[in-house]
Amino acid sequence: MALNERRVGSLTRGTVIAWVVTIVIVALVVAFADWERIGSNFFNVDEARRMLPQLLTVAAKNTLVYTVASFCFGFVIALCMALMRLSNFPPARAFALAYVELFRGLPALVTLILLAFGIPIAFPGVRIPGGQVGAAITGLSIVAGAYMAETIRGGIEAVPRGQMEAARSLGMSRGQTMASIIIPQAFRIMIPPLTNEFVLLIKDTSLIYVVGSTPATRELVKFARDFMSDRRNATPLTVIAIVYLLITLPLTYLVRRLEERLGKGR
Amino acid sequence: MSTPAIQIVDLHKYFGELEVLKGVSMSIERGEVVCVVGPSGSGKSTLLRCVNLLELPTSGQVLIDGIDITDPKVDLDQMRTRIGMVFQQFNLFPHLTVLRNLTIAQEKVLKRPRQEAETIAMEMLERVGVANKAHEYPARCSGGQQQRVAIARSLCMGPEMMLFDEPTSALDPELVGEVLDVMRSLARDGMTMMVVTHEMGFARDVADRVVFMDGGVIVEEGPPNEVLVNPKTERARRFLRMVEEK
Repeated sequence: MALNERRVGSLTRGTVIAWVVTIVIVALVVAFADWERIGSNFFNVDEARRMLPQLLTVAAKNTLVYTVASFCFGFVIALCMALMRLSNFPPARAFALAYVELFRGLPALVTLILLAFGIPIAFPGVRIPGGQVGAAITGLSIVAGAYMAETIRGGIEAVPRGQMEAARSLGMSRGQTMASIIIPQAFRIMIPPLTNEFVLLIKDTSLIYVVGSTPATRELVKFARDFMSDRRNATPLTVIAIVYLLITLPLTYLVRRLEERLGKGR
Repeated sequence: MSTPAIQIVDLHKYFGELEVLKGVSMSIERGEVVCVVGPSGSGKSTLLRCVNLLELPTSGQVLIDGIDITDPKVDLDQMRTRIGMVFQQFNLFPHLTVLRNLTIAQEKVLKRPRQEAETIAMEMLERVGVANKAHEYPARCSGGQQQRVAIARSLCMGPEMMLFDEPTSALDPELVGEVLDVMRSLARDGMTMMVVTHEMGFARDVADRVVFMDGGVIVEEGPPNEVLVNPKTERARRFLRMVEEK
């Protein structure tokens, strides 16, 4: 009872106003929205059923394949760039810095168009393996590499200097120390920001539409757009939204668990 | 006369404009225990860190067993396995178990098989009295245990000499003793040791020779009961008075 009283007492004027506004907006939406139209266009079960097999076996699969491929290549690029940034060799440092600033500064779309169309126009003989999809994945890897390079560098620099000194004074080389002492520790620090990069990358794969695609290489957004214009129905937007969340939410959950487990050694 | 274990010749070290070491020369014989004392900022830690080239001297030479390790042609990684180093902050590898802390460099540098490395590691942990922590992570050990593990880690490489950089300064007072005991037993076993320390009691009991540094130069050196009991210079007297008051 006492608790209830206190809660009533805490209903200040601000909370009251907030509640009133919310209730009014909800009431207006419920009263004036065309629920039938919304239901048949955004939540149409028949349309959802019709698209589901293709959507899961082609579009969702492609989105995942593009994301994982770009993330892996991007990570390798990023690791190289981060190590170059931290090296004692000035030209390597300058190159890595220029790379990161350039591809972080440009819209990802520009990089994709450059690889898919710019380079074939300029050098008709040059072909990126994998055709248009290959060009798109290369472009996304380059961009992801630029972002992740800074994440990795930050992680490496966050490992205390004494770790390098201790390993070096045991006779381990710089490379050995990096590989078995510094990078494993840096990786822990990098897990949250890298997950972030991965989630951003999942969404960035939707940019691949600019390079053009065939029915077999479509990812989620392109698939939804095609379906929408074919069927004059917006339900695919709802469906792909759910698919995106089904990918990203468990991922962030998994990573949180992983972080807790890795945290044990600390 | 035999070659000294460590010989430092006219060492200068600048950090930017600041001259931290202003021409230091000294040598340490095999089996000798030398304590380096002096006020903070006197350059004693920098001097120690120059001995295994964690700091690169601006000029001068460091000879280990007669080999000039400032020569770029020398295999520094190989030389460092002969020089153990113990840090103020322990610097154990927090992502590895205590045992793995001791075996990783044995495997990577000395190319010992895992089995042999682990046998040696357990022997060394036994020697410093923390064998029961072998399978724990460093974070689960007290400061004193961590520092003893760090000493054991160095010993695993079979060093001919050991450098100690204020090994007890980061420890709670009640944990200092266990680390000093390990160092004492090392000294008894004939290890060549160069110890930067504020523990005057340890210096008096264990050191064969004490070096007093101030302002980037060696001000005074000699047997502990001269330098620490009857210092010749005013600077050393003032320093000792301040340490005693503390």
